[in-house]
Amino acid sequence: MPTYKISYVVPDKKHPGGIINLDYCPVRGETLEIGGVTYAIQEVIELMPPQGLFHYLHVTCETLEE
Amino acid sequence: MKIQGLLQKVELFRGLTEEELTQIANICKEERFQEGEVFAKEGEMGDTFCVIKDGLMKVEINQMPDLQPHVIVHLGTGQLIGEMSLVDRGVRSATVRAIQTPTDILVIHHDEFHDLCEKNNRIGYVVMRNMAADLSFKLRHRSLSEQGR
Repeated sequence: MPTYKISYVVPDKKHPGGIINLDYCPVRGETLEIGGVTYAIQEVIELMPPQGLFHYLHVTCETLEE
Repeated sequence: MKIQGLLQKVELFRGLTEEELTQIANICKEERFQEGEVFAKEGEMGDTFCVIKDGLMKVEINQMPDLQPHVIVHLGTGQLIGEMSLVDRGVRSATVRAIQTPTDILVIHHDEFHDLCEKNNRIGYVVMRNMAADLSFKLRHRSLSEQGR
């Protein structure tokens, strides 16, 4: 089962951004829930080439609900 | 989830066999943190590193003694904390505290990890290679984060 290592940033807030692992691939237009906060995914890019079952992505988010 | 199952999803251990993952699992100790509790404190010596099993932690640095700490990143499930002191044996470069209750982590003592790598050089090679990739990923994240994109 693939693991998606995600770098995420939230440009609309003074949020430091973060790194998490997901077991699904995030998709532009969908939402992401991290630590009780819901974000809208605005952009997904590949940060590094995949290695085996590991995928390395960078996600830009917008805060929806806190 | 058994510890071996979690370790398979941690990049640090990518490429290890089931037997090698079992050896790593044998030196892991599970700990639970509540929001606000500190795993590592900036400037102090550290003799452990950890993998976040479930939860969220923030990494903060004190730029000036009289200012609020500056939070540089949030780290969630599967991420490594405290690996720099494993490599360079220096003091903790930042303070790391839980921001979610509960936050469960797997703690590995440096000495036990070094002993395991001495006994099985392949574990040492694979883990150090993966640790370099993890640091590279963190640098790429930091670079994009500073650009605000």
